[in-house]
Amino acid sequence: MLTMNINYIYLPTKYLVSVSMNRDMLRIMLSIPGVLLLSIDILLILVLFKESIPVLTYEGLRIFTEFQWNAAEDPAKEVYGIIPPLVGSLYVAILAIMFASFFSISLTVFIQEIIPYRARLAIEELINVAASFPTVLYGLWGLTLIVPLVRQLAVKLGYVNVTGASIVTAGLVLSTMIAPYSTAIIKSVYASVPLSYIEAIASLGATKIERAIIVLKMIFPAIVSSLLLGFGRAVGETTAVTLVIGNAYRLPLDPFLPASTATSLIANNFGMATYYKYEYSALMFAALVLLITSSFFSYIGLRLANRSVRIVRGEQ
Amino acid sequence: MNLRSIKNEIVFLLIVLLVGFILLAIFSLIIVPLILGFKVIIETGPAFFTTAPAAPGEESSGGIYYTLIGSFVMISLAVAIAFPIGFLTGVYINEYPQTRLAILAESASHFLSEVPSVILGIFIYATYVLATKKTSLIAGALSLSLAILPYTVVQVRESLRVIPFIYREAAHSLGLPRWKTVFFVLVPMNMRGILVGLLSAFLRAFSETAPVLFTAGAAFYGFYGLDGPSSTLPLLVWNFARTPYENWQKLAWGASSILALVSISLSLIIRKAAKEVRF
Amino acid sequence: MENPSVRIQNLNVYYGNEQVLFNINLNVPRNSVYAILGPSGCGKSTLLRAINRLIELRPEARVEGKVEIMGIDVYRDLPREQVARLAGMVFQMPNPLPHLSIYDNVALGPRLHGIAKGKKLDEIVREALEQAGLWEEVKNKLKMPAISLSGGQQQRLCIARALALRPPVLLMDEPTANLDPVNASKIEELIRKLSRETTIIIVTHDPEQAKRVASRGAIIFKGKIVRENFIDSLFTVPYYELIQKLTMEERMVIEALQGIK
Repeated sequence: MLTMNINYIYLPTKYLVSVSMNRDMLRIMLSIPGVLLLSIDILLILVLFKESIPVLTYEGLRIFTEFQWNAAEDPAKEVYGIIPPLVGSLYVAILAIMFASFFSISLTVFIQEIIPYRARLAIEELINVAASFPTVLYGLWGLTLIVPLVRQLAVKLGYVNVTGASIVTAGLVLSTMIAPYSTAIIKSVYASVPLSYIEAIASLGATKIERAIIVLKMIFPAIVSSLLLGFGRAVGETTAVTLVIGNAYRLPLDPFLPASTATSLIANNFGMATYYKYEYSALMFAALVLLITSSFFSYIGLRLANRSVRIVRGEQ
Repeated sequence: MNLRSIKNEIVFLLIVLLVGFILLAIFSLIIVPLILGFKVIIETGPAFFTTAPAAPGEESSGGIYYTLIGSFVMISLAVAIAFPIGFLTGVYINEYPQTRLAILAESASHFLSEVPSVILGIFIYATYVLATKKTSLIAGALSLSLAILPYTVVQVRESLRVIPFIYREAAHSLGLPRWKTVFFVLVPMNMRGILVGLLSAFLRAFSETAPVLFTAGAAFYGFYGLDGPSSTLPLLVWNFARTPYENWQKLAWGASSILALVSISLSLIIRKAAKEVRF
Repeated sequence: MENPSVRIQNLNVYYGNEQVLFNINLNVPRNSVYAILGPSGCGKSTLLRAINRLIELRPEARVEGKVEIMGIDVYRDLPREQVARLAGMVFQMPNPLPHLSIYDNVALGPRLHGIAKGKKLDEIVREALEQAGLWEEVKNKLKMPAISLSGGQQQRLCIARALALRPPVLLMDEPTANLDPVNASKIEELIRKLSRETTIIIVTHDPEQAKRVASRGAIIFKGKIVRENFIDSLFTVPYYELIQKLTMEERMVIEALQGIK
């Protein structure tokens, strides 16, 4: 006991202080950017809330019940309803993940089970490039190739006088945009299923396709979670959607007619919004609702993703 | 041919059909701007890169000179702002993983990455643009930096996380204080990972449109400094593609091919570099 | 041997350019337990997987020679999916499919092959579980997730799953390696019981286990059969007769095995 005390006294206190100083200094210096990041998030949410207040005090709940968007010089005549574009956002996103799910599941099975190894690398590169491709080019591609296709389809279905820009078009374009991401996620979960299960299924006499179907069922929560994450992205996409959706303000009951989404609403109107008394605030509120919706679905998607990883590993 | 093999065949055909469609879609997505755009660039010649856009309805499409400058400056600025913050945050999260700040910072970064990019733009509008009373290159750079910040955090954190613990132990046993261990041993060890993060940040800033829609202005005919309005390539495509003038549409295609080319090259480089991380 | 249930002739197996099994010739008598022994990495698992064509899961694998089960050439006379009806397999790690119930795990084989539905399927599942000695324990919780069972129960579930297709041959790859002694002996008892109506080929690294359950066996070393005989003779042929014909490594293996008595 006594010797320990003596040792403690002999240690130069200067050294002790400088060691702990180093540790704390590093931590303090490093935490500044982290705090900055956190403040940016909080500030963003606060700003959206604050800027939404004018229109909410002006319209109250009418912002949910009005189905028109009337920016007028006379403030008394301004009316804003955000439900039609919001429904448009949801409609487009649902179509997008529906189509994307077909694409990514087929792509996964195709890559993992059907094609030989060499061709696999080429396809994976293609998908990787597509995943980082600028969204405005997706929009341009949609405008050039998908809009005419949808117009022909609509004409065949009996529509007259449609441009081809519509909810369906936006859904198709977005599904092409989401497919690379969800394919990557589903593929990685698929590939991580333990060999033991694969052998068990094969030893029961399943064909490749049958085995793939069983594995897909096994990783089903992962598939759902990748789609939810895709939904969050689809709801928030701006440039690609605005270029192909037709930008007509209406409640989108008919998917082959031009419509608008929350993002296309903002993209089209924000530039001039400050000329009017309440439009700026209305768009801010639309952005807030958009943010909440997108975050909600991404959050659920993430929770499901964690759970599905545990199931594949055999834990409960 | 029994029921079972019929079912197998149908599923197989369905898969091949769907895969064919999506691969065709992705392929055309990438090829069309390249082909149409290169045609325009070849027609216009070197002037494409050295002049401003022509007047609407004219024969030639003009060029993207000022937009190129604008893009370059804005992206460099955005990365210069975002990368240090992201880098240090990534280091913090990796060094003090279970602390409250680390968990909060990670959630904050994740939240930011999920925010629709147009909202990032209107956030900067509501703060910086309204405060300075004008759209500017700096405002655009700020919006872009928000877009790329989360990715740098994740990339740096991951690059440090995969370094085996023994290297940290070795550094400690040599008597290195913690900050030297981090900045002089660990970071240089995975320089490749950090550089990949840098490249990814560039790629992302390069490709984004929505954040700069309302913050950077729309200046295609001149360069007005950091404080003045400017433009980026995606912004140019966005604006000019929707006009009814043929020469302006051609300009948009030309710009698209540059966008596509840079995006493809960077994606391939990043993927190749990311694969070679080894210890 | 007359009418062996499994006959392997001149079997050579390659992974890419590397040969892993050299000229294997084996005959397995009907309704008995046949043991395959050897140190790890010697190719016994590969041999087992060559019998039911599971080896084809690996694209770089190449098989030459003939494997016959009940007189049917497994590689040439049948599509791969049908081999499961001739030979079922049980693995070292109990692997009931985690997203399926107990019932659905056992019913998986019959459902895949379209053998039965509804009540008939119920009967098949019940019979398989009874054969595996598990029915009494699970009959009231067939819809529970299969992974809610204990390790030993899960392994018996896997046996039931393989038996549901009523194969004449059952391949077992170190089935008790991951079980505690109590459950291991339950499985061994089950193996002895099943061998009255099924041919069982069991890969094991434990010569004592081989002596307890098997009647005949082979010792594999570095992809070659080193000894093949009735179980009693496998370990008791006088050492000096052997060493004339064996290489140094083979001698070491036999010595090691003989040392464990």
